[in-house]
Amino acid sequence: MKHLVRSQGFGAVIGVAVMLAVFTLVDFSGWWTVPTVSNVTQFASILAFVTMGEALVIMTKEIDLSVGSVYGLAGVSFITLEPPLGVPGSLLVALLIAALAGLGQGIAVVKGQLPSMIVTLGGLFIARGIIYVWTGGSVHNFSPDARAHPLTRVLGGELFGVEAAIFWIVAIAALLGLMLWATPFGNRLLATGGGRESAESRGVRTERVKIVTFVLCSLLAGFAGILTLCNQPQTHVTLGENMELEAISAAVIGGCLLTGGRGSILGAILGALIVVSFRYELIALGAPSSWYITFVGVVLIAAVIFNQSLARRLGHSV
Amino acid sequence: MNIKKLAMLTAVLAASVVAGTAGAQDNDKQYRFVMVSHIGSNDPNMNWLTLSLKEFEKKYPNVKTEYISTNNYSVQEHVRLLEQAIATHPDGIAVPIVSSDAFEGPLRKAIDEGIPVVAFNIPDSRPAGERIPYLTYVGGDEYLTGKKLGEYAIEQAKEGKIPQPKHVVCASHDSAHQGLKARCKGMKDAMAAVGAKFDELFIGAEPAGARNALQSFLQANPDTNYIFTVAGWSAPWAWSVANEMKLDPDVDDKGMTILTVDEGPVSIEGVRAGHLLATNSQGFWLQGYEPMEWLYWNKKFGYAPQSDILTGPVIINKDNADQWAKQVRAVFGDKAYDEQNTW
Amino acid sequence: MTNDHPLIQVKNLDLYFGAFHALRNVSVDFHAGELVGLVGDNGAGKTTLIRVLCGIHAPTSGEVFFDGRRAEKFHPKLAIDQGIETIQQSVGLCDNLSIARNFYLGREPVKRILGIPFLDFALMREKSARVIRQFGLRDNVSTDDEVERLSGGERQSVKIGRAVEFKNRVVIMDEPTNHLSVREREHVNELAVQLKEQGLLVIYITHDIFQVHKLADRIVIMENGSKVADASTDAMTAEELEEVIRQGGRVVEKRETA
Repeated sequence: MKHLVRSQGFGAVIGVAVMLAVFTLVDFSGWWTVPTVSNVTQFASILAFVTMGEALVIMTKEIDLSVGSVYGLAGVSFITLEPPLGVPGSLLVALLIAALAGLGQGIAVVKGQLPSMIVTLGGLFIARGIIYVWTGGSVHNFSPDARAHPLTRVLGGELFGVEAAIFWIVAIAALLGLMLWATPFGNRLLATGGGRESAESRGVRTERVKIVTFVLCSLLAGFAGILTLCNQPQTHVTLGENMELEAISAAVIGGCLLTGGRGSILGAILGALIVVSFRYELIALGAPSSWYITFVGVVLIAAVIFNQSLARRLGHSV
Repeated sequence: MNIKKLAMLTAVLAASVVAGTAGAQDNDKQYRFVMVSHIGSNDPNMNWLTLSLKEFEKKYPNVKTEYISTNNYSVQEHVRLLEQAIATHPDGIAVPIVSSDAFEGPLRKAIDEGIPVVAFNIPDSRPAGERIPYLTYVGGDEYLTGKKLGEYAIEQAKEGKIPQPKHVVCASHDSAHQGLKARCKGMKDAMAAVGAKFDELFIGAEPAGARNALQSFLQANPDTNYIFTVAGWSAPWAWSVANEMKLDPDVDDKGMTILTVDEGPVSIEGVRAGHLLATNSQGFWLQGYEPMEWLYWNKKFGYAPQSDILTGPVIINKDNADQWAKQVRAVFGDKAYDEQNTW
Repeated sequence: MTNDHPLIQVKNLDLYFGAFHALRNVSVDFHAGELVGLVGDNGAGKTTLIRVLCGIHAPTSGEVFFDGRRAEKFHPKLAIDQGIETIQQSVGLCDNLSIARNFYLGREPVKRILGIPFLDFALMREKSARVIRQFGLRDNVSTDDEVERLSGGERQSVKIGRAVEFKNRVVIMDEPTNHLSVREREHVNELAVQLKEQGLLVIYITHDIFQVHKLADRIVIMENGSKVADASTDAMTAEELEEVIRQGGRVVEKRETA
């Protein structure tokens, strides 16, 4: 218990509890239904993939604004390359493209000693631009064969009536959580964000850590794009637009501090859940849906204040 | 696009324009009209306009038409192209009023110089007195698009072919776009006549987010039985969400009914497949041809229409969709048509 | 104790930070089994010199030989791999990590499960606690607690404990007794001598010439980025050396090899 309270996800645990309590009070019959919960968890798990990667990058004290575009680029590559390469081939190439995007940006940030904000803003535009040029403004749909391919079903289908995305998020979040918490790499990643100079003085190759984290982040975003399309192969060149803002918000709501070194995988997932739940509930309550973005802003600021005061109470310096 | 390419393009443009002017001097009955468009060659919709210009040149051999556009669109770039075109003193200009503020200056200058201007596709939406004093507007009407589609649906419902509208949701991807708002408003007014509930839902342009928003709305409002997507490409999303929720979205006398807009392949194929009740055409082909015709007769006899010229909307339903598919296929080419069919 | 072949040899080292000339033509030898006091005022270049030795800064010109081999690249990882452990003043601990995690940062002990290296938490906790408690750590602080909870002295204990645990060939101590109580200070000083007696090279950086004179075999004084004195403690008294510092700049080269 003490461990949980001190972990960075604790604020988000409270946030989710409060949110669920409020939604139960104001909209009990609408919220606690199978379709609602499955709708919200499915989209939350897709956003959670992107958020987890973003959270890792933020933990190294960098930021990645390109995740939405990389999500889109991987998804569009997956669909567009399927006719010549088949489902497994295009899956691999799409992930490779995502990884290269992360690698390129990571190297530019580290070796060029450039602010990641600028590099990944460039990445955002470049990846989006490539989508536009490549597809000429419209993205194919999967052929019936590709939709029926076992791999597509495993990534985007249902199992026991539960969306596959949810199994994937549980599995991959567990792996990432273990990586962050229980491996030398995780220790070095947190050290890189918490005190780059100190980490380096202990022989940590912080540059490599950052590059690997950028690659990981892009891979997760790319994988999320592919998962989305396996479930719903009809898409558009806008795939992933503005998703970076939702992902960063979710990461911060989930307890990631932009000052680096603090954050958790659990928090990232809960942050994504909060963001998506709010979208649902605002629409359900009949608020004009353009208010959603305003509410995300309010929740974001409230979460930052809450997480910081929680951290101070626990004696962290923030 | 890099500077070098841009410079080259400009040079080529200028050269062709100079050559055109020289030609006009040889024969005083020669006219040169320029269409400064917002639709670049990466959008197959461009062919509607270029093909109609070609047709126009055939009918009016003493007119030379030019189509100018850019692939990396921005308002600034568009204004630059417009200013370049004006600098070559053409006999007439057709241009969509993408931004009345940005286009005001150059167009007033052109009009003052005696170059007639026709607005096509997008009008100056400000009140009559404040508008750029162009000759006329040739194009569709966003409000009527929504209204006519709504009225068509009500007619079909009265004949018992589709369910009576109870609750209509207008799914819009851009909450700031006046044109989209007008489409929703048209639908709202049509539906008000039969007492159906109406909501405007901002779903965003991002596919997963849009699905999420729409699904949320449909869950929270289970009485919804009509979806109107104000872009063709979001129609398949609406259909698949409704289908996944087992709301029977195909066109029949029960479940969900979906309407969309545009004569793009997605919309037309959606109608043909029985997924969508109807879509509409804004008479795109005419939006190329008609401005040139008015520029011509204005130049020749000083004719000027006294109202806007609406080229649409025309309803596309399962009765005429095959015909439309054939026509759009011819304009887009098979490859682009099939690529854009994202069903 | 020392042999002819220096373990670390610094030759004509210059280092600029932009226009600032931080190290000026510094040459100095360090031998295994030697405890060298590196003394000087703030800004004299002591810390900059050892930061070159532990790979944080690369020199602008000049050479560094380690065990007779010329160092081509400078990175903390390379220095650590060569066996140089450094206790630095301002860096070395990440506030966001626990004591145990900081202790093993960069060389975490692992248990492999299915070939995947997982942190060996039990070992990390148990061993880091045992080592650090020797140097002072409140009983109610666990090695799972984050370093930011620690007092200045405890932070120093972690760094010293870590250097001792991983002692290899060279231990560089930058103001190691800052923030420490009198007893802890004595303990650290005894430890420095012990390490030397085990055959390690110990470089001990301090302001306090009198304190280090008692421990060291040799004193190197820096002033304004230059080495101004290099003398064995047998040859010069602490008072004489203090005079050198006070005058600043007069180069004294008196050294006796044992």
